[in-house]
Amino acid sequence: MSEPASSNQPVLNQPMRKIVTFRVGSRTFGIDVAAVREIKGWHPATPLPHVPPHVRGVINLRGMILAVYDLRARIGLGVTAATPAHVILVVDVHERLAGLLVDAVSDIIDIQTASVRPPPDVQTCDQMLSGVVIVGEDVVSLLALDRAVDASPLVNAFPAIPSEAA
Amino acid sequence: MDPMAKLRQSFLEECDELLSALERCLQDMDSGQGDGDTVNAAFRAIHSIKGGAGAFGFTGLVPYAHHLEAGLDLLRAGKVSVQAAPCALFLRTADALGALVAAARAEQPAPEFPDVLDALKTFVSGGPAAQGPLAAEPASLPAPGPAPAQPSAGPAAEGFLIRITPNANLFRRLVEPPQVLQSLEGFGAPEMLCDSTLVPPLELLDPSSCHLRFTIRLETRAERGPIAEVLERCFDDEEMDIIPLGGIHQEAATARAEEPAAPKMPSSPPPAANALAAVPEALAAQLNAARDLPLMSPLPDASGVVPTLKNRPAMVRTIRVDLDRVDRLMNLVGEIVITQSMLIDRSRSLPVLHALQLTEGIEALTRQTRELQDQVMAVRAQPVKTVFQRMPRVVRDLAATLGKQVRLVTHGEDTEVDKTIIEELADPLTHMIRNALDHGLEKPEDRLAAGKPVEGVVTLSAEQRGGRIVITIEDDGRGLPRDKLFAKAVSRGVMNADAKPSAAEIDALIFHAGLSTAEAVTDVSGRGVGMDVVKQNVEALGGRVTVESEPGKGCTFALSLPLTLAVADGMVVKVGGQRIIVPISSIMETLQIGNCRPDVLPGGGEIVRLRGDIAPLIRLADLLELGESGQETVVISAETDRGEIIGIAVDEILGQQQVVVKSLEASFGAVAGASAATILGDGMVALILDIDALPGLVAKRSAAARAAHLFPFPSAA
Repeated sequence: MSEPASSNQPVLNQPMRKIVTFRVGSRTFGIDVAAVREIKGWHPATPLPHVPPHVRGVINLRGMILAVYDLRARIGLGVTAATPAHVILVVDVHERLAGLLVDAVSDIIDIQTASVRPPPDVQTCDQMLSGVVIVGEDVVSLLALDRAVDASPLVNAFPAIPSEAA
Repeated sequence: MDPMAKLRQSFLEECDELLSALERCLQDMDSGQGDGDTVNAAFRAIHSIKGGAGAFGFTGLVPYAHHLEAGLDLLRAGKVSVQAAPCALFLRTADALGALVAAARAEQPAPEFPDVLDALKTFVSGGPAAQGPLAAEPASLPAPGPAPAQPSAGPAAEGFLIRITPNANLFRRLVEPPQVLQSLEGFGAPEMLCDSTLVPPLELLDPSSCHLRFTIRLETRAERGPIAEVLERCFDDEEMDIIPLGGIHQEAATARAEEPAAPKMPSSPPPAANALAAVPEALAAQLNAARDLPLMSPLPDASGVVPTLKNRPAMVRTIRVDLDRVDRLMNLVGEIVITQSMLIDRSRSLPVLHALQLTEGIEALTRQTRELQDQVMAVRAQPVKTVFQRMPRVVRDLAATLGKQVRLVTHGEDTEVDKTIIEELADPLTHMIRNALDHGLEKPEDRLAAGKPVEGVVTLSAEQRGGRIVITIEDDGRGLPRDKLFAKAVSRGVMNADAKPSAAEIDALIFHAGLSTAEAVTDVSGRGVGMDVVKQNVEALGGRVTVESEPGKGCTFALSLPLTLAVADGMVVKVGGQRIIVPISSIMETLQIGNCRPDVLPGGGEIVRLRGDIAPLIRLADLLELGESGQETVVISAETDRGEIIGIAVDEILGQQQVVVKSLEASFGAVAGASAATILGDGMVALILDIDALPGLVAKRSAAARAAHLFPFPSAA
């Protein structure tokens, strides 16, 4: 991860947020660190019948059943060909734990709350973004977790990037 | 507690069971349902009571038991007919025995019921002459000494009053006073009283000094000598005082006279002692821990006549336990089941010889785990009565509000089900009962017009079917208004106006959100947030709710719920590369697919022949989209909770095991075709097949296929 830009240097009296950033393809996403319970390597999931492709199935998290959602598929870039190098973020969404399959976790950074901009087009990708923040060279899309870990079929996918073969 | 006391205790517990068995038999006989077997069962029960009572020295019980036995024997021998049996007298005898057992348990004197005994004797001796000698037998019964648990407090009592005033250095003598005191039980039943008046307040207390005094009343025929010998193992001559009970009354008087002198003992300011009463008592408790001596707080004349032990707290038969603890216990059992299946898994990779040895151990473990689990379940199980008994009130209040006459009939209140389910049942049941009264039952005038009795009947019943409990709420009202339901469904866009749904499909609309049909919204029900919520609640418990309705005749809702949420028996099958658990409780048999001759009907539906009958064949891989179908080798014939038989084709059967049921709702949401999930021995999650939902899934899919003008999928119809 690049050096935080000067605008994101902690400044006294500025409300800050701590963000976990992670990658799916060439995109960087972020969620509040408080929402992340743990980070674990990919483990084959038991598929569920009659669910959209971005629901990868369920895994055993220390005796608990955890549903795993494929963020790549969720944003319309195709199902992740998961390897042990892939990562499941165990996140807490409204008191319910869910797994979010991503390519890799990048960093934990501090951002100024004021620097978060609204997502450019709220209709894009099922309103899955709560905001966008620029960190150095990267655009970090902040996920609206309750939309990202949802089993309903997606309506609007991210626009595909030609260079990004799913 | 010494072994004998334990045995006596468990005999008394057994007596309770025997007595209730006896009472059931007698009641059956009384109501005319009794036959030879009933008499035999009653005879066996009373015979066991009599035998045990004699052996354990509960002599008070013996004459009653003996004469009742003799009376029943007359019936058994056919000398008196069962119909002519004096059941009322026998029942009174059973009650008397119950009272005697209770008294023995509380270690109170045995009550007497001379009228019962006399009436019994008369009945027995009034029988055929051959029975005569029996009546005299009790006199010749060996009398095992004085009844220890029922001391007759009469003046003729033999025995001793023993006072022990130990030296302060008692604890330093390396002796075990509790054991010595306990050994007095060899002579009879000692009643002991510990006097802790002299224990100083905490700040003055030397914990290694003894400040306790004991008074023991020992009823025995033994001589003074052996008793003193036992006590001398622990106490010096000057510390004990053994007085024959005959002289007790003078003793008591002397004791009272001496009493004022007691507090002059050093370091015993009574107010402070009272303020710290708990501390000396705790200390005394240590001393007495080995045997539960009664601890009496100092009473004005406590050191005089030994009181009977009626002040002893009643025997505690039940305990209240925080539900969380039981839940934790249950979770732990679940973990053990998972670990066990892991062990089984791993044992497969061992060399055969080792595996064999291990398997034996695992089999034992499996049995024990199952037993453990049953026991924990039994702790959690409660009769549905706890919910059912709230309903009469709901019905009464609502009937009054609605101006309807309603009778509530309940069946199967004693059906037991897990406490969690009980708790979740109250709301849906209340709701459905309200619905039945409000929407189901007609107004009195309408009922009369329809030729029905004015009084409507709502039947609430529970019954266990396999691993599930089925609760039905039935009313004899007008049935579901299908035309209105359909019209509403059309107006809400739930159904197409030109759809031709079956009656059952229309009835099922009642569970659709927002389709309440009451013409006027009442304050009782009818805001359209009704049956859909019930359905959700019930499904969240892994249950299902169905409705059957007959216009003009009434409507029946059936809730089918798992008996427990925790553990189930499952068959592990392979379907399209995945393992699925099929609940054993629904499986009827398994067959090779070739043996049940699958056939494709015109239209695409597949059927199989199961024991001469035909049943729809469901290829699981296909239905649950778990991969290619066509690999199936086995058909599992299963019964849904509605009694439909279906054939489920799977690739192969992998085994059978207990599975810990883990809700999918809690972590994901309802999954069509899976009632829950579980964790297998290798840590992977497997879905538990929802057999009861399969026919619906098939129907839904073929309907979708028809709507999409695709080739029809196999239909369940």
